[in-house]
Amino acid sequence: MPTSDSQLLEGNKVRIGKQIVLPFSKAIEISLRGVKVRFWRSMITMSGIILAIAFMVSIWVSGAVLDGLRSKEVRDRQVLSQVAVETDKLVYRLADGTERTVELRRERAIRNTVTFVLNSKGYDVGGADAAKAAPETTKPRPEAEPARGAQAPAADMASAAKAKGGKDLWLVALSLCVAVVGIVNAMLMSVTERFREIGTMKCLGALDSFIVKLFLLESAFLGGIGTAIGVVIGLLLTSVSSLVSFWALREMILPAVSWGDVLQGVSVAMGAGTLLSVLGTVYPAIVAARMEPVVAMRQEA
Amino acid sequence: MIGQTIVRTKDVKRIYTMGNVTVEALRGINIEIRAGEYLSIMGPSGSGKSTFFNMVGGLDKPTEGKVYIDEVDVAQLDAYELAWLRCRKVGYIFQSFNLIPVMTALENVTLPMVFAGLNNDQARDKGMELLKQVGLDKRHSHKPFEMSGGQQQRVAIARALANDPAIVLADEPTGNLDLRTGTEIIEILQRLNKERNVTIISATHDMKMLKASDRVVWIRDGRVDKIEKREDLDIQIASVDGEH
Ligand SMILES: Nc1ncnc2c1ncn2[C@@H]1O[C@H](COP(=O)(O)OP(=O)(O)OP(=O)(O)O)[C@@H](O)[C@H]1O
Ligand SMILES: [Mg+2]
Repeated sequence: MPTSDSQLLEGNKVRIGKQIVLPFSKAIEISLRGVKVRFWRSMITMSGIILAIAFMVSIWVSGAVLDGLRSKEVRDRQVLSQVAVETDKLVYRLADGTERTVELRRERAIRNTVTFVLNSKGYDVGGADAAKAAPETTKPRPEAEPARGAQAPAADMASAAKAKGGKDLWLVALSLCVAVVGIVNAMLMSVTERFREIGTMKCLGALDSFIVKLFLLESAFLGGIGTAIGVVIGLLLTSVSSLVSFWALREMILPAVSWGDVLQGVSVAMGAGTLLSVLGTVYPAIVAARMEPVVAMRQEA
Repeated sequence: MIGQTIVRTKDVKRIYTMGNVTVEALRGINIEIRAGEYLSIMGPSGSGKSTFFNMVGGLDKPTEGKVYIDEVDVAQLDAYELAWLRCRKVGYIFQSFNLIPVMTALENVTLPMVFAGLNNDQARDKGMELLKQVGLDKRHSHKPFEMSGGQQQRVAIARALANDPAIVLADEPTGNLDLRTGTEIIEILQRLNKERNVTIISATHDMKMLKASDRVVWIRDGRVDKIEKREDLDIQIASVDGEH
């Protein structure tokens, strides 16, 4: 290592270049320590994003629940109209070709409940009468007709869902924006609070980019943890609210939900939450990095 | 062993502007500091010691004039070179210690080594060695708030030496310490100056510092008032001691 006087400060950038390659793992280590020490306070900083993500997840997942219930309703109607119906038994043909027999009365009751509950909650899935007509007919119908019958309400549902989804999307976006503004504000305060630490690090030879890295990593970890908490809260909220809204269908909710949808929602939320908390820290991190090392010298605490 | 010129300032002025108020903190300072020297900067509060000190340490740039470290104009350095200078060429000791609160003593000492690109093992061994030199190797895993002011300042000294700097800058290193601890710190600085031949530049109000110094620069109102060699100091120190 070049440490003797004669070698110093010859403006040799190659040698200087060597010094600045700071192992990334060290930056991670230092920022993780920061996370650990300031954890509970940081979680308060992150509460905005936790709530916004919880909101986002609950909107998404309750949408998935509703979609699951609706598509089950539509699916059932088609199944009922396509499969030969015996007097009191219904034969399902599942996607993999296996057949299942259910008691017709029970099945019809459930199906009507879905339609009734969804309708009564304001999700228009068409009249229960139309659905009732199908299994009553013992002879198999031509395929085209029930398909049309099922399509019309499905299209209605889609457009209604789209309109409602648009409004929800706005609310989600708005709450995320508020959360980001909260993070920017809290991070700026944390920067002024840590000015001495930052100044000292710069006196010890930290580059601006290292300070930026430190702050961004810290907020990525915090954002990740905060988002995960938000996701859990959102899932819990949705489970409770779905159970309350669709109590009559409680046994059907779990099988009806499309888990792919839920997973997608959760991963979108994780990505968005972490990314937004990092984005919200970019400006504060730059402010921190621009801080003059002289501030470390100032005597007042 | 006093060698070549390591720091040289030429007509250094520093003017602070706040709105339409300007403060001339430095009004033209010319000074030459030699490698291996123990130099104290004395002067009343507000005379510009800290300001001058920041210039020499590459922490601030003069409004006018030049600061040369190893005959390189500090104002010409870019961000990388400045970081390099701060990391390897200069060690800083602060009045308020400025240890990183979330790190242990050893981690604080090894932080500049991390910036210099040492690997973990090398850094740990060297950090322990430095802590031993300031008598704190047993407390390597303690956080700053678990240590007394004097101990914190010793950790800070070990940290200042992390990358074997040629210059150690200490702005009132004993300012927050009591008489006895302050004396200990001065003794350590003096020993390092002798053993490692580090140039020590220290701003202070502390008359105890004078005894350790090779030269004392008196600053008044942003100007060099007088420069005294140790030989000329002895009489004064005697009289200062007499006052106690
Ligand atoms: N950042 C700043 N902005 C404006 N004025 C400043 C700033 N730093 C220092 N000054 C002014 O410059 C002058 C010299 O200040 P400096 O801190 O160098 O004094 P000092 O000799 O170190 O004093 P002390 O012994 O109290 O530490 C003072 O008048 C001070 O008010
Ligand atoms: Mg000062």
